[in-house]
Amino acid sequence: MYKLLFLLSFSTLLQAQQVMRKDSIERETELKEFRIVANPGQKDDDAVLATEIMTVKTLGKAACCNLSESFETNATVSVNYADAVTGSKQIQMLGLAGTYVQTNVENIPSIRGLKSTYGLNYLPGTWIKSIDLAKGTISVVNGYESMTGAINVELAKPDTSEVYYLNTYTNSQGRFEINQQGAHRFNSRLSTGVFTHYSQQAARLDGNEDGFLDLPLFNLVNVLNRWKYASDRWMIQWGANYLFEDRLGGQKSFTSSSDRTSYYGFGSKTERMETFAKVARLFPQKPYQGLALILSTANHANDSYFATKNYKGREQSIYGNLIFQSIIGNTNHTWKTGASFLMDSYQESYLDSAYSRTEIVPGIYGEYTWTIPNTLTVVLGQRVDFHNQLGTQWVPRLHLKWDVAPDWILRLSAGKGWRRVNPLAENMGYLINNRALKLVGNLNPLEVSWNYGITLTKNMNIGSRKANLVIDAFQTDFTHQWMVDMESAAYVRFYSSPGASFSTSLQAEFNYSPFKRFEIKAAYRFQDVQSDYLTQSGTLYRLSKPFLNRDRVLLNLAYATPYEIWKYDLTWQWNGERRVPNAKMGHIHSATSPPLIAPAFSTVNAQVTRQFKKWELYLGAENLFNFTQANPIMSAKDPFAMGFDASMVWGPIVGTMVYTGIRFKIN
Amino acid sequence: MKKILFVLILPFLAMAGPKETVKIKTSAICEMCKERIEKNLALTKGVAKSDLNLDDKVITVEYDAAKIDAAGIRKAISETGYDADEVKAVAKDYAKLPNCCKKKN
Repeated sequence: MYKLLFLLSFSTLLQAQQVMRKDSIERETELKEFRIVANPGQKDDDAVLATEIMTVKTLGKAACCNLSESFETNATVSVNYADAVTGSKQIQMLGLAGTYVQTNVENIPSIRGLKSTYGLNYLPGTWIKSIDLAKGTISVVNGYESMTGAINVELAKPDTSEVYYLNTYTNSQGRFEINQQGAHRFNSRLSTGVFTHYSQQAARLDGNEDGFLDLPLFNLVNVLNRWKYASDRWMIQWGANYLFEDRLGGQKSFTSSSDRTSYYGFGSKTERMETFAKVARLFPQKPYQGLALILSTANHANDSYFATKNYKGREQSIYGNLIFQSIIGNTNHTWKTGASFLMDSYQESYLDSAYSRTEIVPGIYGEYTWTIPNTLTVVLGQRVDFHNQLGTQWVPRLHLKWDVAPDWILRLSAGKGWRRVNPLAENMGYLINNRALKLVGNLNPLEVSWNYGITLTKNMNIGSRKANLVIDAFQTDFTHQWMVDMESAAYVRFYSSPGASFSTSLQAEFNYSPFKRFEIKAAYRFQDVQSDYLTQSGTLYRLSKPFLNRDRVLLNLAYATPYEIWKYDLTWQWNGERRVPNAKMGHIHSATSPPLIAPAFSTVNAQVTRQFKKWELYLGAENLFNFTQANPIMSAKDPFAMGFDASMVWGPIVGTMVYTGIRFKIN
Repeated sequence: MKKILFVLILPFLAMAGPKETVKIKTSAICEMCKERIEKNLALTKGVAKSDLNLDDKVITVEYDAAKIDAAGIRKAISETGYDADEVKAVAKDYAKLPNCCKKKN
C-alpha cells in the first residue's frame, strides 16, 4: 500500500505524499545508513519519469558553490558561460537552453523571468539537500513550462538540519565564500532555520592577458529564513529570502567611477526578495488523500550597463497553486486536480526603449494515474491555461513506466510545453558586443514544443557487484520558437522561427562499482540540434545550433577509504567539436557560408576530502589540463569598435584552478 | 633476517607507540550500530582498528596507548550514543540514533 503510493508520487507537491515517499534528507540518510551495497548512479527506480537524484553525497564530489556548479559530475546537464564578461552561467539539457528547463525550488517555480540571467549562481550549494533531474516534460501539476526537462531542488529543512553548519571555500582565482546555517527546534512541531551566504570575487584576474577581467568582480549576500510546522493534520512551511548582488566586469582597469566611453565596463546590481508559503492538509485516516496550497511572491530589480548601453529590469510576481489528490476505489487509481495562478509584471528598459507588460495566467489541470503494481504505471495529465496575452493554451502529457522484466524498466513520455520569452534577460550575454539589436518581422513571444522520450534502465550484477545501464533518446520539436540569430557579425537578430527547429538527444550511462567503495560512471551523449535560419535577404537555410557540441563523454571515478575517512574523486570530460557563428568583422551569413568549427577539448577535475569527527577538509582542482579558449573576446584591444565581441564563448576562459575549504557541523 | 627486519621496523613502532587491545561491551543492536560505532572510532585519534561482534555486542579495539587509553575509547563510544561497559551512553547523542538502534524496552 505504501509502496504503491511511493510509486505514484513523482514530483508531488503534496507534502502528504512527500512524507510517505520520505523526503530527500531522509533518503540521503537512508542511502548512507543502510549502506546500499555499491550504489552506482542514483536513479529513482520507482518514479514514473526517468529521474536522476543528486544527493549531498553526489554534490560533495565537486565541492560546489552554487547550483550552476552542481552538475560537474552529471552527464545530462552541461553548464556554460554565456559570455566572457558577465560571468553568467547557463545550463543546457537535451541540447537546448536552460530556459526550456523548468527549474523549481521545492516545487515552486524559481529560476524564470528576470532571474534567469544569473539565477543559477543565486542558489548556494550548501543550502541544497538534493536535486531531482527529469528529462522531457513533467507532471502538469507543476505547470506548463517544462519543455525539455525539469530540475527540482530541495533545500535543507529546519527540523532535520544541523544546529550549526559552517562552510568555507577559497580558490586560487581569488574567490571566497562563507556559508553559515543555524536551525532550531522549538518543539516536536515547530522549527526554524536561518541560512546565510556571502561570496566575493575580489581579485582582478586576467590570465589570458587580453586586457579584460576573466571573471567579474562580485559581492553576493543571500539570506533565507524558513519555518516549518508539522502535525498529524497540517504541514505548513513558510519563509523569506533576500538577495543582493553587485557585479563589475570589463577591462581590467575599469572601476565603477571610470568614464564608460573610454574604458569598456560592465556592471550589474540585483536585488531580489522572495517569500513563500506551503500549506498541506493531511488526512491521517486517508493517507492517499491530500490538499495543498503553494503561494510565492518575488520582487526583482536589476540595473545593468554594458559600456554605454543601459538596461533596467523590474519584475513583481505572484504565484499560487492549489492541489487536491484522492483515489478512485483503491490506490491503483489516483487522481490529482487543481488550479494555478500566475501574475507577472515586468518593466524593462534597454537603450532608449521601454518595455512593460503584465501577464496574468490562471490555469486548471487534472491528472490520472493508473497502476498495475510491479508492472505498469500510466500517468495522463491535461492542463489548460488562460494567458491574457498569448491566449488559451492546452497542454496534454503522458508518462508511462513498464517493468518489462525483473531489472528491466522502460519509460515513455510525451507532452507539450510552452512559455513566454524574456528576450533581454535570457540573452544578456549576447549584449556584450557592438552588434546592433534587430527585430525582424512580426515577433511572437510564445514558444511551444512537443517532447517525446524513451528511457531503458537495466540493473544487473557483474560478479557479485552491482551495475546499471541507462539508455535514453529524446526528441524535441518546436512549433513556435523565438530565434536569436548571431550568424552575421554586425547584428543580433530576433525573429520568430520561420521553419523547423528540433533537437535529438541520445545518452548512455553506465554505473558500476567493481569493488567496495569504488564507483565508476561512464557516459556518452549525442546531440543533434538544428534550426532554420533566415538570411538577411529572407531565404531559409538550416544550421546546427551554435556553441553546442554534438558529442560528449564523461568519466567519473570515486573511491573512499573505510568509513569514508578519505574520499577521492576524479572527473574527466571530453567535449567534441562545435559550430560557432562567424563573427569576423563584416561577415554576412548566407546559405553557402562555410561553417566555423571550434575544436574539441577535455577537462579534468579532481578532489580529495578528509573527514574528521566534527568537520571535513576538502582540496580540489578544476581544469587540470589547463585548457582555455584562445581568444574568448574578439578585438579585445578595441572594445568600442565594430568587431568587438565577447559573446563567442565555447570553452573555458580560465585555466587550472585550485580550491580548498571546510565543512564544520554541530549536531 | 627476521631480526634485522625487526630492528629496521622498531623505530617506526616506537614512534607509533605500543599497540594495545581492549574489549568493550556495548549496547549495539544492528548492522547500523556497528557501522556507526566503528566509523566514529575510526575518526578518533589513536584508534587503529575496531571490530564489533553483533552476537555478543563486544567491540575489540586496537589502539595506540601513547595517544588514547581504554577510558578514552569508552568515552568515544558513549558519545556515539551507546553504552560502553560501565559508561552510559550520552543522552543527547543517544537521542539522535535512528529508531532501529534504540534499545527496545
